[in-house]
Amino acid sequence: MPPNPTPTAPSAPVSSISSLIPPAESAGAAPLLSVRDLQTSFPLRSALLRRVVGEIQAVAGVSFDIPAGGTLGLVGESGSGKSTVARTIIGLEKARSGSIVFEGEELTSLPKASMRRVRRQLQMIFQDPYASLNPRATVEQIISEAWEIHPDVVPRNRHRAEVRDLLERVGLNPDHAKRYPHQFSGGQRQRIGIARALALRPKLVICDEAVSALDVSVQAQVLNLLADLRRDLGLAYLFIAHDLSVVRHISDQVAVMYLGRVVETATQDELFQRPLHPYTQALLSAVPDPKPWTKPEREPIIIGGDVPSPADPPSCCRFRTRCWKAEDICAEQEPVLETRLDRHPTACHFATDLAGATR
Amino acid sequence: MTALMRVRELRVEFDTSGGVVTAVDGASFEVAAGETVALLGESGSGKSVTAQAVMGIVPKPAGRIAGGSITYDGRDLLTPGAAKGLRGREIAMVFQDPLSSLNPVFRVGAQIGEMFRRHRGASRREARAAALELMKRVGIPAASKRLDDYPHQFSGGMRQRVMIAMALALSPRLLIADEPTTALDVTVQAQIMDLLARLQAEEGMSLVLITHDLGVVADVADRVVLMYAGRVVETGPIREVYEHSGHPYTAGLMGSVPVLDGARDRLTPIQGSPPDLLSLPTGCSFHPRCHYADPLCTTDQPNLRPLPTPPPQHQAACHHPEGVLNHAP
Repeated sequence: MPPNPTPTAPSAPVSSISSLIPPAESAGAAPLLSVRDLQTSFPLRSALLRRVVGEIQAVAGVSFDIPAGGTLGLVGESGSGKSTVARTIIGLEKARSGSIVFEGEELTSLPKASMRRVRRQLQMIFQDPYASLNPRATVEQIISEAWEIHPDVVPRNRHRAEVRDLLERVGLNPDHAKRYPHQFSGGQRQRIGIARALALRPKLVICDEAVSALDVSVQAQVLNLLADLRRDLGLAYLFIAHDLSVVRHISDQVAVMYLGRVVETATQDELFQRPLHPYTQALLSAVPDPKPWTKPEREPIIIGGDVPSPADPPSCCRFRTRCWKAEDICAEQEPVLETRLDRHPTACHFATDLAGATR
Repeated sequence: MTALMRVRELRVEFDTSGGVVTAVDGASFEVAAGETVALLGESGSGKSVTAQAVMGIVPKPAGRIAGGSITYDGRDLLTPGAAKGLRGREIAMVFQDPLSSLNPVFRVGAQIGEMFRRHRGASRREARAAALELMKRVGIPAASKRLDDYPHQFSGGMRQRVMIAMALALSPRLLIADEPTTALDVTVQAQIMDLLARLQAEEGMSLVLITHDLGVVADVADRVVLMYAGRVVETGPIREVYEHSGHPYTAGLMGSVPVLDGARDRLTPIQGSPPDLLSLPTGCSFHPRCHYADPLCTTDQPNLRPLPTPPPQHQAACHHPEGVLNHAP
């Protein structure tokens, strides 16, 4: 990756860091993962001359913490940058600025060799259970491959037994270790992906839309499995999804992203019961309810338009072009993510507590 | 209400390298005039193939309609020639992926206008005016400026609006929408569902919504037809089906969906995975995943029949609906 030659504007104003951090659940203990003002951009090349003509700021100043054993749900629509956050944490993209501290180590400046050591603790489960498994390797090879790179985790003579244990752990038949991915269903393949992620005994697992591709009956099985693993192994999750019901189901803490920025973050309870940001309110209102007739009649909030292109985001408040509350100030002054209305951090000049009026 | 479309014992087969797959295996249901029906099912349930059979677009030569009948307004759609002039005019369809359903090299206005030119013999100018009118109706902002844009210049949600405009062009009496919002973000999904419901009410047309998402249709559908492994397993008024599920598969689906409010209990998923269509279980296809299965279920395929509880339109294909009904969460 060549260094980005475009002159860069100073980063977006960020309030004092402490105001961004939701009250720590385990006071005193340092978080397992701490992300501060993370920015990741991609060069925008002209098709004709392949010159860099601009940049897409996919992640434009994102901060959050994940405590050991905790689960942060990161929600957002396409183009919100949620997957880029994950890819940057795990080292698949390079951060332009900001910091990622995992177990006290700064990942953005870590030498490659040390990164390998840290990466062991930091695993990822991908969305597509078809594309993320090597079709020419058996399940046993797929799962034990990581032990070739980290031979100290499991000695070679234990590989076979350990693979059987892992398969059992994720609810697959250990006798199927010699089978190939195509012999499994989508849900089973996702279990293989989970077993592979667990092979190195990580502390944090990033689930990037890990259940989105699955049918609902199978999705529920995998969600239960993830909850069991968290309980039994003390795993922490960064759970990225566009489906709010799923995020609510699994997360302790939730951050809502829109066009590269976190617009609101709170505990799961707070966020879903008392959303303060208009975008969160609209998002929650748009979630299909399987039993609408059991709820009091409510006026749905339907916001117009689509998510603007991340290549040309609106100035200052990025949601203002679709917001029914937007006024002049929204185009003049960036709303800071800070605790508002004495409740939780949100980035809106007109944050309102509907106090259960929507839900 | 009388049935506008009637599907009877429909059977659709596909030749695959592994053998013959019966994608739709004796599905029967009706759509009344002015009614919104949700055709629900997970992948492989046969819901989309059923729609393809209605539209006469079952992929050939691999696929064929091997039995059953589809009648529309008393006319047999499966007799060659009889359906002429119905499909595309009276029965229109909207697909999941609007980008691959639009021609990338023609301007959007011209593509919508072509419907009027081909079917109504409209002039270029008339077609353009009609296209503009339709684009406004489906809520495309600055429609007059966007008439001459190409499909790739539209966002996913706007493309789906263009598709809906084309489907509405000839004032169909039946609109089939196959996963119309699956590829869209949730805020845009809400817009499109709102639009479909509004147009359905304005036009008084029948709407068949094909989806895997139980929630997305709950606000708009009158009735549900739930498919599993090519068969209809439960049907009835949506509220009855969701609240008092008579088939263990429906009950299992309801227990699998995390909801936005209420307790965050452990989900109660259906065990196992959807069946391999190449080697379907004997008897009831659902029996290997079912808590209520007994020896009868492994040998006899249950047919749709009214549940012991009213209304009679609420039917399930299960040998033991009492157990399911009594176990309602």
